[in-house]
Amino acid sequence: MNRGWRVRTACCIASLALCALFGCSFTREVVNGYVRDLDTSWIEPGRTTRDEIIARMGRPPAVLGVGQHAGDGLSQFFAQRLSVRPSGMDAKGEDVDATGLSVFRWTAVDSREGTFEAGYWIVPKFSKGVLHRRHDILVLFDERGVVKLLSRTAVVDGMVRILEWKEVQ
Amino acid sequence: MSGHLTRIVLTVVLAAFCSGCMWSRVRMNDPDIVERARAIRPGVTKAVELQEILRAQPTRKRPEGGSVTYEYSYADSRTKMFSIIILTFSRTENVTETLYIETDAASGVVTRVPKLVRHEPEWRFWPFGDDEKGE
Repeated sequence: MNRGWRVRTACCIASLALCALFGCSFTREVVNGYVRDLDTSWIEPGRTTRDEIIARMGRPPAVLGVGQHAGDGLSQFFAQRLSVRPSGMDAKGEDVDATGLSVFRWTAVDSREGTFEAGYWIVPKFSKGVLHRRHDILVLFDERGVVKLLSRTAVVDGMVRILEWKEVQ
Repeated sequence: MSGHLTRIVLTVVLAAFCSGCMWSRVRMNDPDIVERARAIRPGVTKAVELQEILRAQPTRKRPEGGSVTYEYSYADSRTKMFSIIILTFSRTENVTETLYIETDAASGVVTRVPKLVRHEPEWRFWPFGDDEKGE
């Protein structure tokens, strides 16, 4: 084998090894992104009924992505403002809380993860996942099935931001 | 010698940037149930006929006052990945939905099939940027 071949082989091996040594990935997962585009501007607390909402928007999905409602900080947020028991908010998109109010809840979740792997055969792997943003539409009905509260909130970095808040006075 | 090295380096760089794509789709239950549900006629169709029309079992059957609601949950998930060997970008779009069919508890006749909308998840791979509008 001449010198040129040796150099070429060494370079190829070194390059392949370099490629196999590390890698990184950026992933993103969006659940029910369409929720962000739902129009709720026509909903008037005190006037709009549950039936009207069902007719125009349908009902929220009963099956949600894993962890969508867990530890989101929203339950506590509403519990402080409305005396709604947090457990009533955590269970499902639609649930009945302790005060007998019906709840419709649509949720969009946007999470991201970045991973750096030191190598395919080497163990160190660094990954960081963040819940980038959640968007919630919450509608509370009174015992007659009339909207009592409409809220749109975004949770960004654990902070709840109110995008829309309409409540019966 | 320098010519050989240049070619080798060039080949390696090109090889490193050889790209690859991956598409993956996962469905839970059958989202086409929405299309089949259009055959349901409120006031005419009975609860016992739902299985034949929808070709599916309800995920949940829930009494609500004087009615019984049949819930059919389904999900559609699409993942697109773009890889340049040492760098991978991927994005997964999930849509979870439920078809609700309300029936009268006494007669078993379908009383309402709420708005049927089917949201299709998109094929996208770029994980960055913000989709939010006006927030």
